[in-house]
Amino acid sequence: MNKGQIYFNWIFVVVIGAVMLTFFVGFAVKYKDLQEKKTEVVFLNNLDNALTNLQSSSFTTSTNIDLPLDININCSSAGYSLFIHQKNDVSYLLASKNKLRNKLYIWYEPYEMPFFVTNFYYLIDDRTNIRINSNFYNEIIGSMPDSFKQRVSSDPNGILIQGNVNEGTVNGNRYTGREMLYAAIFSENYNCFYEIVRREFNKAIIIYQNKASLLSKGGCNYNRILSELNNLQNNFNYQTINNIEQMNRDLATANCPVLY
Amino acid sequence: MNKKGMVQLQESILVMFFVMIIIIMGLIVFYKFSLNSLHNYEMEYREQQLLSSLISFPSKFGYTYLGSSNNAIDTSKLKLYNDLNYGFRKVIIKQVYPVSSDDIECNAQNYPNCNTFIVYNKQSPILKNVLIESMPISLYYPLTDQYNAGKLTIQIYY
Repeated sequence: MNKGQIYFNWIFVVVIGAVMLTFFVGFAVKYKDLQEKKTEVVFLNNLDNALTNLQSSSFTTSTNIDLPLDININCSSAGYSLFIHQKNDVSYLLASKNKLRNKLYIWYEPYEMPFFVTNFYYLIDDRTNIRINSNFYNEIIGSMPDSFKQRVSSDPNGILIQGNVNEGTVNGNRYTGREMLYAAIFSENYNCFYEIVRREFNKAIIIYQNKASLLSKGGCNYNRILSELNNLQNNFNYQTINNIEQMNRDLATANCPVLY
Repeated sequence: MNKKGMVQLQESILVMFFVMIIIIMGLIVFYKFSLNSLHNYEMEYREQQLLSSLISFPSKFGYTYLGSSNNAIDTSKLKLYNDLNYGFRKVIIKQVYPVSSDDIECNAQNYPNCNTFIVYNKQSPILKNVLIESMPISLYYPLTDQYNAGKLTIQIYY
C-alpha cells in the first residue's frame, strides 16, 4: 500500500468521525429540546386539567401540583401566557407572582359582579409570604383556603389595604369585590390583571344588554336596568352593582324574567 | 505497516462505518417516534383545552335565577358574538328536542321561534385542521319559561 492510500484512510476516518460527532451532538441537542417540549406540554395539560376540575367541582376550590420546571407568568394586554421553554398563551385569569417554582397552590373563585363575569385563579408557590396591613385582616383571611392562609400574615409594614372586603384600595390600586381584593393581594402585576378584568366585565355587560333587549319583547320594562348596565360600564363601583341587584329582584317581584 | 495490517485496518474502518450508519438510522427512527409521541401529547392538550371550553361555556351563558345556577343554557344570552375575541373557533348550539325538520338560525327578529344558535364563528384561512367536541345541554327560553334539549358543539381550528 502506498503512502497516498494511508493518507486517504486517515482523512476518511477524520472526515467521517467529524460528521458523526456533529450528528451525535446535534441529535443530543434536538432530543433535549424535544424532551423539554414534551415536559412542557404534559405540564400544561395537567395544569389545564387541574384548573378545569376546580371550575366544575361544587366543593373543592383549591388544589396543588408539583412543578417539574420553573414557570414564568406574563400578563399583557392580549392576556396571560405561561413561559416555561416557550410562550404558551392561556385563556385564564391568573392572579400570581411572575415566577413560580417547586410546588404550585391554586385557588379558584368565580367573579360575580353581580352576574358571572369570569373565573379567577390565584396561584402561589412554596416561597410565597405575603404581609398585609389592614384593619379587617381577619375578614380577609377568613375565606382563604388553608394553603393560602398559611402564607399570609399581618404586618404593619405590609401591603396597605383600605376600605372593606367589597370595595377599597390595595396599595392605592382600586378593587371591587372580595375576589378582586384577593387578586390584588396575590398579583405581582395587578394593573394588567385589572385591565383584563375590565375587558371581561364589558363583554359580560354586552351579553346582559342583549338579553335585556330580547326580554323586553315579552312586555316587561328593562330600560332602568339597561341604563344602570350602561352606567356600570363607565362607572365600575359597588353602589351601581347593588342597584342592579335590587332592580333584578324587582323584576322577579313583578313576575318578569330576571336578567341573571 | 505491512499489507495485511492495512487491509485489516480498512476492514475495521468499514465495519465501524456500517455500525455507525445502523446506529444513526436507529437514532433517527427513535427521534421520529419521540416526535410522534410529542404530537400525541400536543393533541391531548388541545383536546383538554376543548373540554375546558365546553365546561366553562355554561358558566358564561348559563341560566341563573337571582344568582343561583339552574344548569341550563340561557338562550336569551345567545347571539353571534364575533366582536368578542375567543380565538379561532366555532360555537354552535342546536335544539334537538322537540325535533324540527328545518334548521332555523336564531336572530333578534325570529327568537324564540328558531332552533340553531351560532354563538361564535371565527375561522382562519391558514388553520385547516379542526377538532370537534359536543355535549348535551338543557336550553332555557325565558320568554316562554320553557326548557328544551340541545347540543353544544365547539370546533377549534388549529
